Amino acid sequence: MADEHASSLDGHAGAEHHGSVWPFVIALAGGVGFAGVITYFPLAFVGLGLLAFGVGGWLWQDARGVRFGDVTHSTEPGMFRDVSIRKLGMWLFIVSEIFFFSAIIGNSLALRARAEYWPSPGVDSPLNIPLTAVNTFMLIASSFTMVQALKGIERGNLRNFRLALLATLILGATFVSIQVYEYNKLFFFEHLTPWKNSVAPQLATFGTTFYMQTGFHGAHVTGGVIGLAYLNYKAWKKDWFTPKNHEAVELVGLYWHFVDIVWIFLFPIVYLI
Amino acid sequence: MESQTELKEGGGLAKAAIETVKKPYFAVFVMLGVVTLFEINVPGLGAYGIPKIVQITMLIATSVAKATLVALYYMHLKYEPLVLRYVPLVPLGLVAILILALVVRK
Repeated sequence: MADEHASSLDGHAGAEHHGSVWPFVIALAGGVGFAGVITYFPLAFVGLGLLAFGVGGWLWQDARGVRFGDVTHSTEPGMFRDVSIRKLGMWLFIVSEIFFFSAIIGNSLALRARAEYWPSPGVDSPLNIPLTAVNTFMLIASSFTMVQALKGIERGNLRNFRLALLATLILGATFVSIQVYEYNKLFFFEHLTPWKNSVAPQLATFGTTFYMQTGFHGAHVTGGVIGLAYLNYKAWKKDWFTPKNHEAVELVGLYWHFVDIVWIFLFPIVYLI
Repeated sequence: MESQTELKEGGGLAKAAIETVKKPYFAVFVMLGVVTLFEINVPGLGAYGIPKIVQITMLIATSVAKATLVALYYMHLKYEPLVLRYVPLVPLGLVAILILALVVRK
């Protein structure tokens, strides 16, 4: 995002372009960590260490106010020539996320199709539909405030931009908080665990798929909330975002709306069907 | 709305044009809310003799409609070049096949 800001700085020569290594370190951390989860578990801790190193390095670089210079090509040649290179990057990331969540949802549906018992919503399901419906409205409202923030900065209305961005952060954090409350209630009081337990053994597969789907989504929302917190911080810096330089807001917004779309599918699949 | 502004090659709008075109953000927000209200009442339809398969079909339809609204208007795909609209659309077709195969496979 410092990159984003720097792209509009006058007099910054393209020849000085030097990217940041930290996104690569974070991506490497993800690769090593997940490889550890499925092959040799101690590697997962190496991944976590690399992640902390990568995030720390990136924040340190950002705190020092390092400017990354102009992007040498704002678009790719060829069929994507009309699309900003950063926006294209975010969309490709979203495509990878589509595959990720589809695998999780597909796997859960496959397990459900073969399960001997599955609780029915509103009958014998331990899930709280009204509470989650409130949470769903939180996420929908946060998508609305996110686009209002974008509209605000596009039109140069800093007050609306900052207020809407703050509202998005609060709504996102509220969603996560309600999910934590829900998890606490389900795990400790309803005996819904991700594994088989002696109190409610019939809920084992249901519990596994429930925590896997909502847990990964919740982790993504948490990531989004962290991104929004960073964006809020930058929004209060003078001239950081301007009507001509606000692509970071749009990109974080794309990610946030995608997380909303995932919930649009998860809510009925997990809670209502 | 697109007729008000200059269309770029490939069906999208120029960035400046995208930012000035009036977008129905609030209308989309209201529609998302109303459809969600309907969704949370679908499980109760079983009491009125609506079969489970019909309920599932309704929920899939409402979810797809809501996701389409968010992608088109909040993620601005409606105003982007045509080629960018295909970026998320093509993998969606592939994953639909994957999920269908996983669910119906004996």
